Amino acid sequence: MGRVSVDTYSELQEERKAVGSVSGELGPGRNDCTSGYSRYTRTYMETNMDLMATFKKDITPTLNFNGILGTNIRRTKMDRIFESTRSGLSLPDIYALSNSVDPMPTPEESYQRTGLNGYFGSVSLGYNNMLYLDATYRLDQSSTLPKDNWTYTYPSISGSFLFSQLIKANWLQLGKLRLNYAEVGNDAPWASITDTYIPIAPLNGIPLVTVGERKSNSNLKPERTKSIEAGLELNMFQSRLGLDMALYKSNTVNQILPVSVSYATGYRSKYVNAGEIQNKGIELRLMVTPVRVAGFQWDITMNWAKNLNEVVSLQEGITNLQLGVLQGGITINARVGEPYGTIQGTDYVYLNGKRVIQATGYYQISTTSDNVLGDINPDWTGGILNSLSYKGLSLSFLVDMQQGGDIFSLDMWYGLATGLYPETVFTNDLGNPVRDPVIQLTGPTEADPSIPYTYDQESGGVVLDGVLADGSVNIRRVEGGNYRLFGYARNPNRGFVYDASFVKLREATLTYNLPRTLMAKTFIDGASISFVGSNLWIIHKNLPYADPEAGQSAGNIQGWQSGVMPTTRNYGISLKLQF
Amino acid sequence: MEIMKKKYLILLVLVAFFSACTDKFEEFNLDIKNPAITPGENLFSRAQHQLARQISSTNVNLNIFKLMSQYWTECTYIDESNYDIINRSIPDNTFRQYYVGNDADNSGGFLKDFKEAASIIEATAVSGSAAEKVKANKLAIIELLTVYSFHNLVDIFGDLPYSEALNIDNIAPKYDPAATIYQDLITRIDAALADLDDSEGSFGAADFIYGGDVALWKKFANSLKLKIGINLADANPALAKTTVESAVSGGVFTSSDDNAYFPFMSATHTNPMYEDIIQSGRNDFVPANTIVDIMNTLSDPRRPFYFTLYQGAYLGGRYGYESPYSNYSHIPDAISAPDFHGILLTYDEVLFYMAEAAARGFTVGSTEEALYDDAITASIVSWGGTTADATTFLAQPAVAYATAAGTYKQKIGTQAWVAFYTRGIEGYTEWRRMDYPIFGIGSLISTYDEIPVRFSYPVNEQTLNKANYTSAATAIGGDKISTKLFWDKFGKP
Repeated sequence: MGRVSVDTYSELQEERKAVGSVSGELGPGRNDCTSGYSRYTRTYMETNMDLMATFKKDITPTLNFNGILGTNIRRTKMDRIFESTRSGLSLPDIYALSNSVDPMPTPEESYQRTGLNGYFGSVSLGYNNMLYLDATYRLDQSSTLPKDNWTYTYPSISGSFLFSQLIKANWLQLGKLRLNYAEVGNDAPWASITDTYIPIAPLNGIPLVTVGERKSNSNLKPERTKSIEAGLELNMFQSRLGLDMALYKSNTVNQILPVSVSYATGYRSKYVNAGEIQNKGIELRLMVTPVRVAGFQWDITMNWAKNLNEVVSLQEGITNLQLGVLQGGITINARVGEPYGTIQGTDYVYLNGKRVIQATGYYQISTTSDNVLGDINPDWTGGILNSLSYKGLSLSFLVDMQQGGDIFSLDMWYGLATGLYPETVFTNDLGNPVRDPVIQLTGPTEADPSIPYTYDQESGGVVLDGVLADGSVNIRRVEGGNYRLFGYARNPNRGFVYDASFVKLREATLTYNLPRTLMAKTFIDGASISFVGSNLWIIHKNLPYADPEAGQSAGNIQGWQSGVMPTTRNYGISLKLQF
Repeated sequence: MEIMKKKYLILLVLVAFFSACTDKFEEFNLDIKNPAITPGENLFSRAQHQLARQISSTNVNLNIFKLMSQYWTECTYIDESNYDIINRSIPDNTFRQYYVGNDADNSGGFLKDFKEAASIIEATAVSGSAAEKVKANKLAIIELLTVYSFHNLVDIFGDLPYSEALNIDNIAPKYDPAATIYQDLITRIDAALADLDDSEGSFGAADFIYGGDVALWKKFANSLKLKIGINLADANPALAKTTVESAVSGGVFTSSDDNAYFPFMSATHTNPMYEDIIQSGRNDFVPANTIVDIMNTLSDPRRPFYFTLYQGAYLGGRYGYESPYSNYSHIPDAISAPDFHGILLTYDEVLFYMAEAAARGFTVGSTEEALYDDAITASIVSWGGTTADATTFLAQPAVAYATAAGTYKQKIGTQAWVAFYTRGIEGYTEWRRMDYPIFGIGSLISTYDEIPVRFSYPVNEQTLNKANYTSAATAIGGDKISTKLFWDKFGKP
């Protein structure tokens, strides 16, 4: 079989900022401006040429053989340009690049091409519809790797055993064991093996050129993922009980990453074969039908999964894969022997387990920012789907849950500082509004530093819970109406890391299948109407004022939230007709 | 026959596939929109431009020294005026701005570009002694601006990755002691001075500051040496004396025409202050009462060039307190103009350092009083005043060197700080070395001692260069903003 296919798309993204808008960044220069117009155009084309030959032979009536030999030749091409006005729009309401107040900033352009040649073969053997063995072998050549390393091969082998064929018990409909081992090779991102300089708009006709912030690497090797998976599938008691279980472990070695490095090197990051990262876990699925009587059926499907992600080793002098540097001074990291994704930042300073308070009455904040404050990975995730059906009517609802995982909330970091949240308004220990002024009666003086702090019964403010550096309990009261008291800068990052666990009613559906008799004389074969609701209810969570699942709008950083939008609850009605 | 044809066809297609296979792979992986090679001069021009941008900037993410020197204060968001440098990762950004090359139109560093420029120019063969001299001049000028940049950086942080910095093959560069870096910077200036030959040119128009004039770069070299030398006066008086005296005898700036200014443009390559004050559409900064009050008391003739009038007078926002934009004097249009020059080193600055040197007993060819008068006069005139303004100003007993209050540190320190207006790092360093003027205490700190005297190291250094970070932190006496740099020997008078 031979096939040539071409996929192509082009897109245009425009940003129009009307004259008089709030100042914000726009365009490739990311200058602040109060009006402007930017356009981002991208065209992409992917060509695939495939040749495949299949062989099939029954060696004996019970032993069957299947073979495939093939090639896949892939070429991609991406052309992008991002351009904008500078310093605003000259005439209002005209959204054109030519309407720029100042000459346009240098556009960002890129033209990326990649090529991949793949040659593969596979053989499958089947014995008596009971034992199956598949093996594949693939050779790839990729344009994104250095010439010496651009050819790489990888095998896979998988076997399955349908033991239900052997047992033949009437309570067992399906019993299957499977075991797979696979290696997958992977290439590098485009243009990560050679460096280029970056030109900037000339100044007075003099060209300006800079060194890029990411160092390429002409010695990159292909990365390789080795994975092993064992699985068990059972279907018993006339499909009243089913089980699907999988255990897996995958190790990615020579992972190609732009690794963050000390800025003092002259670069922000460097492409390397970073090291070995391991993922292992278990996935369970249990299907039960507790009731099946006279037209009524109740099905329960339960999912449970646990995944452990760990950095096994790092190479080339790297001690930490820094996944993100974020506002608030937070970093997301992966060190050897630690989970892939620890949240690090400033912490309280502790004395005998108590938070230390400075002489000023405020918390002491660690001078270091590499304290581990949390782990972005959940302990486990799970879900329960209940389906109830009676004759034409069925109701199903899905409850999803996540246990553990941490998240830093920039919203709380700022919101508690500015007094946005109700936690900042309460009645203090003296029974007065916390935002009332502090009325101090006595306190230490230069002449006599031993005089204790005492306060009027009408005093506002709070006495923060903790001890002074000498171990004595803090008694100094600080203003409760103060900007920042409960938020950033008066508190370390630690105070704003939350447990990301949740329990959610993810979806509920009510369906009614109209009786056939109604349509007996029409051309309609069947009809059903459903009411569907999704994201209906967050039954439990520990992160205030936000959905712990809501991520950042841009980028793929987990474990850090900023300005998240509320999750939308969706309702729908669907009508299905069959002809 | 039909079958044979099909087989040949398949074979043909296969051959076409295989022959096409990797011929163009290397070409595919090239970034054809950006140059793989460049003249070193273009990197130098960009680095010089970017250095000027960084020191001129008043972006709260990049450069907050116009606040920390108490020239300006913030209106609504007063965090940086109160020394919250962590929340916006300002130490990280400072490292990035100084060390790293960059691709954004608007930000990016220069030390890497200077280094790359030097290595390309070094490796480019030229023929003839004149061309050799031009090449040597270019390398010496790059060296001077590299020294200038590292000097800023060492005065911000203290110990730094220096001897092992700017080498991507060493991703864990060690920190060198600040005192050692200072000595090496002086040595490097001396070496550059020996290489500069003003019988030949250098970069020409690719040098925006001096148009390639080597004689001016020689003066710059000695003036920079003076600036570095005087900062050592309390920590290493012997080295300070020899450095300052050899710089002065070598020939420092002799008039404001020698000033090292970067010419920003009225469009495209504008002054970052314009971008942050005008283009952004934000009203974030007003002059701080610290400087406005001192200048009001002395009826300083530079006030109309430094501030706008508010209800017929000059009024600064209380430093570190919320200061509604509409209630105070503003930064005048001339300073926030897109083509306001970037200021690297000036004649009046040189005279203030010489006045201080004379007061400390160094031999600089004139008296502290005469140099003090000259410095103030040069400053007033370069800001747009007249010599008559200066004479009137200096005639006041509270200004005249003989009668003004306090020690030389108070007199020279205060006047130099006033003259260094808009130049955050110079103002902040002058205050740290001379301990004058008396700064205001922000609203979110409690005591004078809490006013920081350095930046803490970047978070990135803790997470990515941990071992070296830890030993540097120990070496300087703790990575705190209250840890004094080695040359900063005294505190509040």
